[in-house]
Amino acid sequence: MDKDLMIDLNNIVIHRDERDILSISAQIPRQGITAVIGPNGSGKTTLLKLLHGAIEADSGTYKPGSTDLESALVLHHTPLIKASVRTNMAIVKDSLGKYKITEDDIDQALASVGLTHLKNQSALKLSAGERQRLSLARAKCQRPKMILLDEPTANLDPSTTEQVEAIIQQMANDGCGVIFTSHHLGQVQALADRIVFLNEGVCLESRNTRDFFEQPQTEQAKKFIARELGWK
Amino acid sequence: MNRRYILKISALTVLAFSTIGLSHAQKSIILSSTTSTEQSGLFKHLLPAFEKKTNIQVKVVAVGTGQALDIGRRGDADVVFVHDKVAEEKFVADGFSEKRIEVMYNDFVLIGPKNDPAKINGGKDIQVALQKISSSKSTFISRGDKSGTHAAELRYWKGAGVEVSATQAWYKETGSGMGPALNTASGMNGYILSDRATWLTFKNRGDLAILVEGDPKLFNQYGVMLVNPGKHPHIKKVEGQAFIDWIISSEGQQTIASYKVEGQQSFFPNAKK
Amino acid sequence: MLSAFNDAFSLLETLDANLLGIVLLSLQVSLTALLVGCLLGMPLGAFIAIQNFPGRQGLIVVLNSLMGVPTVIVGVVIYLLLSRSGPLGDLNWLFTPKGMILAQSVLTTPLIAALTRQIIEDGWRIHGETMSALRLPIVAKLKWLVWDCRFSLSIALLAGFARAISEVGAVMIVGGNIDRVTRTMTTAIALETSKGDLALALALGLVLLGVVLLANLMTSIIKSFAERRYG
Repeated sequence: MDKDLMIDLNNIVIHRDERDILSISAQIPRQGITAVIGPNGSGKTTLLKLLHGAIEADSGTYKPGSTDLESALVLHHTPLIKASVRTNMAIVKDSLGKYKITEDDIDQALASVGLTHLKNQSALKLSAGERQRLSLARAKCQRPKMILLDEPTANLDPSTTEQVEAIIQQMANDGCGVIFTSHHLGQVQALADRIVFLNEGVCLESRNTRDFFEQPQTEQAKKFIARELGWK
Repeated sequence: MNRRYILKISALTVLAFSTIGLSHAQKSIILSSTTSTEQSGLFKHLLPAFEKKTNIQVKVVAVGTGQALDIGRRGDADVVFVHDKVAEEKFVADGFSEKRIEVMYNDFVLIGPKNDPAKINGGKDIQVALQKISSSKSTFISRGDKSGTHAAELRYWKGAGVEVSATQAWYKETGSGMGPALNTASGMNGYILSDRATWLTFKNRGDLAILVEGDPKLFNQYGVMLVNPGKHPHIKKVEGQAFIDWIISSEGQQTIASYKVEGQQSFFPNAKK
Repeated sequence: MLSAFNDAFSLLETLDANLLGIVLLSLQVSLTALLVGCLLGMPLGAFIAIQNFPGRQGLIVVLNSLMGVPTVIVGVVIYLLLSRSGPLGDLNWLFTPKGMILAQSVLTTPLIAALTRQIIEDGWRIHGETMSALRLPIVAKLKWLVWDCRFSLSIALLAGFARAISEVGAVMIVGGNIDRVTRTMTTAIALETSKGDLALALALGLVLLGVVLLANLMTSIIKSFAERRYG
């Protein structure tokens, strides 16, 4: 793959609480949809935070850096301010990101996730799905080149999950790179072009989706797939 | 987060500040004095006459004599008006005032419960009365606050040859002004030395009454002093002196004499002509 | 005791101009001290809540202790500062409302700062990660946290106001209880009590109580509004 289209992680180590929660050398695509999967505690969320620049590595480098990636990060928990949907969106205008957000950007983003009708509603009265869509809208109006999503559909019912997946797909089609984590391997198989498989902080496999699922190369990956799909 | 909030808050602030200190345009002096002169109501009667004549506002800080003198020592008052000759003379000796001027006197009275366990009612000698109180160990309330009244009380005990201290169960020190001490005496049915004027205006008498009065030793001299501008150059020398001049003038002296509490004259002017 | 209350009410009915002046002065002094406490204490408390710096823990302990400092001590210290013989004597603030505002601000600011810190810290625990993910600068973080916690913070402000309006130690010493100049509700109550005029003291006490009750009423209105709108 072309080097410019990849994030190159070189011996990244993040050490916390007396263990390495992330110890990774890998290449992750900047375009298309990449899914980061692995057991709980394997470092998936940490990887996203690293790429966003929310966490510093203790050693190692990655190129391009977070400033050049121009990413937006949507975490699993999305607490909202005691205010209207509109105000919660307006918060992003204070962001230090490269792009200067306008009211139009906010309106557009809300429309693209189907929340325009709730603009003046109290944010605390939103359903789980509406909150997730709001978080996505907040990410979108920053015009990111890359969006990092931590378990975006974990608490959602099937129809809302579909809605969110459609938004994610649309973003990728519009040229925004997507990296998301998930436990839902069916979703991963359907959406992702590429898989990054983490286990205990180490990247064991980084391949395209079909190859990964048809012929996993490592024992851990084989066990993982069997467990997750069996449960499903 | 609203511009309107900020506007409202600013408007309130401006309003708050604008009304404070409106009186500063007028000339004024700070007079540190004792609680007896203020609480007896003398100042309410006396000061308006002075202010009307000179347009100088007199701001009275009424505390115990000890504190009043201390305020003068620090230069926080322009004029000091208290009733403790010994302390006043020391004030002058220490250089905090150039001169002590006598203004008026009132008298102390010995108050006690009507059932009078020490049997002093009708007596004409304060020291004899105090001896009887001490030997009968009757409850006695002292101000214990370095005030003029407290200093006088201690002088009478000394003259009576009685040593008093808070370690004696019947002798109670409240460390407070005349009013609170009277409250305590009323509550405990005890004996207490008070100036006549405060007693006359005191409303919470309970079972108490005047038992001993008229002893010349009970006369209580008030003196006024201008704080020394040499020590505190910022003192309002002119206005302060105007107050002193007025209060010893015949007009001021007559105003003092005309003050009556419950129909009785409480303060007797005696400034030297 | 009942007669004292009766007398108190009849005194209140006449609504003396002097009484009005006393109430107005109390409100001016305490509300201004509240404003100072808010403008100084709230940003300080919020900043301490989210920013780590050397000595942070010590500062928190100091602020928490100052919340309960006896008002007379503040009175004496400010008195010594403002005395003509003291370092700030040239300000001429002793025995004036300005001095009283200074003294009460020393009471309100640490209280508001300490309460704000706790409230914002709780909010930071919830929102901190999201705000960092959105790359907000520290001023924006503080601004939005304060906005999010605005209802709890208004309770903190009311606590500051209550502390100021009902204290007597500091304003008595720094103000001097000068008739018509620095006499507040609390110093007037102290004076009338010491004169044995309990009816008037009670009357003033009732007015003071009324002011405090009004402030508390506002608290509960704010709280119920918050609950209805935001759940």
